Amino acid sequence: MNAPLLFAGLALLVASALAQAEMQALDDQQLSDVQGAGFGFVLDNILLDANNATITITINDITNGSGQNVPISVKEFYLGATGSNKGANLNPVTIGRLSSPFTLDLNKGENLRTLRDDGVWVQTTPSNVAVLALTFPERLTGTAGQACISGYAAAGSNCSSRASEKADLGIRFDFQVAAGRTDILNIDIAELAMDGSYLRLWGDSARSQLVGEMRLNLYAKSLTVMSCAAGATNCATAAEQEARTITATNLYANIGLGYGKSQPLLFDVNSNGQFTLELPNPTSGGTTAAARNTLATDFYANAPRTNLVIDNLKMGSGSYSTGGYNFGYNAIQGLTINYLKVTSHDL
Amino acid sequence: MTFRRIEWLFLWLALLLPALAHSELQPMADDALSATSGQGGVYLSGDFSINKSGGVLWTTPTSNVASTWTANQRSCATLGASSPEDCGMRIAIRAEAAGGWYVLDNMKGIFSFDGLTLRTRFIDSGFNGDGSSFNQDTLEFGLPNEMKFQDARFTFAVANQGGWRNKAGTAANGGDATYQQTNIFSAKVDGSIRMQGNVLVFPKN
Repeated sequence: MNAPLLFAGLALLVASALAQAEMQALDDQQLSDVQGAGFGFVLDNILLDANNATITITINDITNGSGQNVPISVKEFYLGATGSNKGANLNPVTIGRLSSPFTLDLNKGENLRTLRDDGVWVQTTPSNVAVLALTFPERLTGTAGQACISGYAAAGSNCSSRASEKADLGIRFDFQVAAGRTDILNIDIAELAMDGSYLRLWGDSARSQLVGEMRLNLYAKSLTVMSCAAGATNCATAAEQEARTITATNLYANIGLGYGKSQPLLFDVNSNGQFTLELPNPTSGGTTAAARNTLATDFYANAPRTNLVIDNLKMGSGSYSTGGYNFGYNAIQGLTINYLKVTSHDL
Repeated sequence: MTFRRIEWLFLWLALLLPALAHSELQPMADDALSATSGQGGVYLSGDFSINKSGGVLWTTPTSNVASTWTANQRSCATLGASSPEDCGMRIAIRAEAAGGWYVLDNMKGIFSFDGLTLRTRFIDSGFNGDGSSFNQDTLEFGLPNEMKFQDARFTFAVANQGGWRNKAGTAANGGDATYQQTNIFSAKVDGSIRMQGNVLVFPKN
C-alpha cells in the first residue's frame, strides 16, 4: 500500500475511535443469564413440494441386464400440514416450537440428557468431551407433555409438538427395472412427529476418530405404502388402490444407536475404502471382571432401548375374502444391541 | 517516494470528512431509540452454476473405458452410458486418523432462486400461544417460493484416498490399482421445487 492511502486508513481508524462508544459492561447477574447453549431454530409455515421436479437417484451401481444403472425416480415428494390427504391438499406447517425448537449446539457431555423409557432423564454421553448435537424438538415430561399420537395413548404423552405442529410427508419411488416395466413404492405418512430424536458427535481420543450416538423417534398416525401409481391402470378406484396398499395405523419407533459412555456408534470408512458401521461391545473397556460387571450394569440400566410398535397392520383390504390380510398389533419392544458391525464389500 | 497530487487530495479528504461528519452526530434520546426497530433486511436472488462444463482437475475423455484415459482425464457418466460426461466438484472428508474417506463427488449443475430473504423479526405473539412468552428477536430466513435446478448432481461415495485416482489406468497414465472407491448413491435433480416458509434462528439458553 502506498503512503497516502495508509495515512488515509489510519485517519479513518482514529476518527472511528473518537466517536462516542455506548457499550456498557454486563453485570454479574446479566452474565450469569448467558449460557451460550447454541442455536434454536423453528420451521415457520414450511411447505415443500417437488412435484414439478425430476429427481433421479441411482444406488451403488445397481444395474439391469444390459449393464446400465437402474434409475430410481423420486416423485410426489411433499412436506406440509396434517390433513393433506396424501399430498393432495397441501398447506404450510410450523414444525418445532419457540419453547422447544430444533437445536444445534456444542455442549459438554455431562450436560446432555436422554429420556429413558421409564421417564427418567439420564446422561448417556461421556464426561469431559465437547459434543456437537443436533436435536429435534425435545420431549416434555409432566403436564406440559402432548400426545405423541393423537387418540393412541400407548405412544405416550411426552412429545412437545402439538397436533398442529405435526406434518404430513410423502415420497414416491419409481424403479425403472426394464423397458416397459416400472415398479412403484408410494409412501405417505400422516401426522408425523420426531420429538426427542438427536444426533450427537464427538471425538474419541483413544480411537482417534469421530464417534457419536443417534436416537431416531418416529410417531405417526398412519403410514401407507402403495405399490402402484394413483390413476394408473388397476390403480384408479379406492378399492383398487386399497388392494395394493400396506397400511400401518398408530405406529411409533424409538431407534437408539449407541450409548456414548460405553458403546459409542462408530461410523467410519476403513483404510480399504469400505464403509463400516459398528456398535462395539459395551464391556470391552473393562480390564477386570468387576469393571466389566459395572459397565454391563450401567449399560442395561441406562442405554436407550429400541422399540417398534404398530397398533394395526393390514395388507390390502384387511379381509381374507377379498385377498387381504389383517395382521393386527405388531411390536418389538425393549431391544438393545450388544454388538453390531456392518461393512460394505465390492462385488 | 513522491505523492501525486490526486493521492494528497484523497488523504486530505479522508482526514477532513470524518471530522466534519463527527460534528453532525447527535445522541438519540432513549424514547427515540426505543421507537426504532430494525426494518428492512436483505432480499437475495441467485443463479449458481457449479462445474457445468467440468472442473479444472480433469478433462473429458472421448470414451467411457477408464483404461484408455490419460493422467488428467476422467468421465463421470453413469454405468453403461454410451457417451462420456464431465466431472463436477469433489469434497473428501476423513473422520478417523488412519481411516478412509467420505466423498461427495461429481457435484455440478445450475441452481437458481428468487426471493431468499434475511431479516430480523421480533416475536411476542402468535405461534399458537408460544409467542407471548418467547418475547425476543429472531433471525428470519425466508425461503424462496421456488428453487429451480438444472442437471444438478452429486454422488455420495466412500474411498481409501481423498483424491480420485484412475484404478483402471496404467502407471504411465497416472493409474493406481490400489485405489478403491465405492459409490453408495447418486442423485440428479431437474425442474423446480416449491419451498415456502421461514426458518427462524435464535440463541437457545
